[in-house]
Amino acid sequence: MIRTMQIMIIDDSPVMRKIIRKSILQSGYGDADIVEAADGLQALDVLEVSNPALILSDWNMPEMTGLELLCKLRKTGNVTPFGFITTEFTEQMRTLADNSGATFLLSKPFNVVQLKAMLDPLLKAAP
Amino acid sequence: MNHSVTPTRENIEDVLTKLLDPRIKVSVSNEDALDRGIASVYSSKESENRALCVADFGMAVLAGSSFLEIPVEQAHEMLTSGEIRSEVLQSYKEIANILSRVLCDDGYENLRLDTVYPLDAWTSNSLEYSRYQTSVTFDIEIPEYGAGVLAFLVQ
Repeated sequence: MIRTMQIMIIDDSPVMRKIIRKSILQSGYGDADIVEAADGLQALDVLEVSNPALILSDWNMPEMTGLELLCKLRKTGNVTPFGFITTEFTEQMRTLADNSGATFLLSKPFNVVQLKAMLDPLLKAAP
Repeated sequence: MNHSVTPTRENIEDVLTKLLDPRIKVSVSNEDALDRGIASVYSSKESENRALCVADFGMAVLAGSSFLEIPVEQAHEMLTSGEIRSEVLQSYKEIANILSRVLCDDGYENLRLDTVYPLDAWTSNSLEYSRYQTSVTFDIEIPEYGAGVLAFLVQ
């Protein structure tokens, strides 16, 4: 049985989730199974029944932020590659993300070339 | 302290070309800040209002539609009817959120999109235009969709 690669998008904006989904397809991962969540708390529920090769998350979200989610995942031994896609961007945020185990931080707006450059090294090697 | 940054034509063009269309043209207009349209308020982490962005109705409809890849004909129908569809307004709000980038610069604090006021839900008095020291207005040409205006007021 061929297993489809899963990619998880977490963002409280349905519009942004749609844009990221489209950008993933345009990056050459059109056959990936995309799962979505609107915040960190909802993402934890989705992760109970899914096993993404990559998590793409906004930073600021209601209920549970992206950073809180990342810390929770790493604390429980989940090492899934985790990239932030966020409007706000400071060096302090980058340091926090790095120290918490993030794989990359991409600021909005991004283009397909920038996203693909982040995805390829992670997903080309994914089983 | 005042940390806000006045957006430049290059900043706006950089964001909108990445978001909407690489062929977008942005030019600085001599017009004053708009007193009608869709107004976005940006605030500091201390919840102090620091900047405003006002899009005319055309800009909100056309940019929101372009972002969602809604057909040009449907976007123009909204312009004719004067009513913006809810998903297009949501789409424009996301653009307004990302435009907060043009109000920040390396070494400065980030401003966050706080509130978006729909058409006719505000006046220049209610949004206290007088508190903002700088204003800059841009004409935006979105290929195939059409033209709109975006004005920024910054403290």
